[in-house]
Amino acid sequence: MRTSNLVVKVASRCNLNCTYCYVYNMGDESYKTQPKFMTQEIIEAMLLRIKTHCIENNLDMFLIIFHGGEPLLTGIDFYKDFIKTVKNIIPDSIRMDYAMQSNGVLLTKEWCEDLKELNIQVGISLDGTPSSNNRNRVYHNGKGSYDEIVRGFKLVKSTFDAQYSNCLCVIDTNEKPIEVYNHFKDLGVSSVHFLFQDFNYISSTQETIPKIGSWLIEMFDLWYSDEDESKPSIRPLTDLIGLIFGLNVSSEIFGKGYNDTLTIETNGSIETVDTLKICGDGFTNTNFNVLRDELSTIFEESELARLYYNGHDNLCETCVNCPLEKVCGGGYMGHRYSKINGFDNPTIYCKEIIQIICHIQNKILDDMPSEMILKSKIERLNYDLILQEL
Amino acid sequence: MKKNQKKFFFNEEENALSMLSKLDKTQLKNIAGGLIAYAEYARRIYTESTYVRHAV
Repeated sequence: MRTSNLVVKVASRCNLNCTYCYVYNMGDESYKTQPKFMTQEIIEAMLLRIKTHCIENNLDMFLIIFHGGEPLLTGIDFYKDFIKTVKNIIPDSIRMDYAMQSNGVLLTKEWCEDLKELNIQVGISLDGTPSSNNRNRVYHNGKGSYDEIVRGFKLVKSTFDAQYSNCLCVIDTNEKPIEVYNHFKDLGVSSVHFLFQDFNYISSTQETIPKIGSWLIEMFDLWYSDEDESKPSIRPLTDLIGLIFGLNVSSEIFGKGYNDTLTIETNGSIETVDTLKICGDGFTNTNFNVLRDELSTIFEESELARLYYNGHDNLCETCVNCPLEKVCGGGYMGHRYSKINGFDNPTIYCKEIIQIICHIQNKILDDMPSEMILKSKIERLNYDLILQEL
Repeated sequence: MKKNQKKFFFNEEENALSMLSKLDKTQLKNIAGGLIAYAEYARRIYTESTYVRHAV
């Protein structure tokens, strides 16, 4: 087992307090014991571990994802110093890529230009409509943040190449898909990635979670029928189409790939991805730290890290018996968790995912030449029959 | 062993998306080209909490 990318928590606090945030508002309180910012000592130790890890695993490229909290709370000089330190530690034979996930509120034109110069790609977290954003993506005083986020997004779009104007959006089923689709089109977003709001069996059931299946079906139909050649790319719709066609486009949620992301917390601790914090307070805590341990230590010593790495294998009996397993991959691991069975459950979004996969597969077959379908011996999925068989 | 043994998805070897990209203009053809390019750079799996899109 090896990692090719790290989520690096350069700041443990955030200038926003989003209602659904898995770091602050889903039961985990480990951020309270973290230093506010990552120190130079931790950065140097982490980069030395990356260098060793790449050499030992013959990796010639590695990705660092600056994350938080809000990563821009560090100020721009942090990133200038970080890249300088990389150049001092990582040999030229290893290509380093950088990404940042930000709410964009603190961005200025000057910072955007500096980030572009440093080759740090910025993704903006922005929800589907102004009202949804101002309901869920709020400051600590409860005020909505839509205007400031959009201002930051427009700076990214005007500074970076237009193809890098990407947004993450948590699905809010209270908002109409057509309004969300038009909102992102009006902003000129190159691509948008719709995220499932984090729920699992600790306090929810498959019946109580948002009905994202029908919501995504409506979104798919809008997007698929839109003949505008500049329409945005939409994940996870493109992931699912690719997987239905047998492409190797697995993700953390879908397909059968390996999940090799690790998280480095602000104090240097090496952990499994931070989104698993939704499974309980301190769920991802470890005793491993870049000051003492190599990155591979977590794969050797932590069962959770190994489970996550192989998160699309060793699925529950329901998933193993399901004909959609190859595409669904069991869904995101954190959404499978219950206090009784651990991860040995179908995802809490099981029915929703079956619904959207069936719909996309049917629509694709509608649009394919019949001789191609006959030759491949593909049969149409039927949502009700699939549910009956599980 | 799955109870339902029917085939619902294409296999990589069938190269179905490449064939579609050569068909007459349809919505699927338009999407096919982009998806083939996407598969070229989607070799690393990232956590869903970040959006990463790098040039090929």
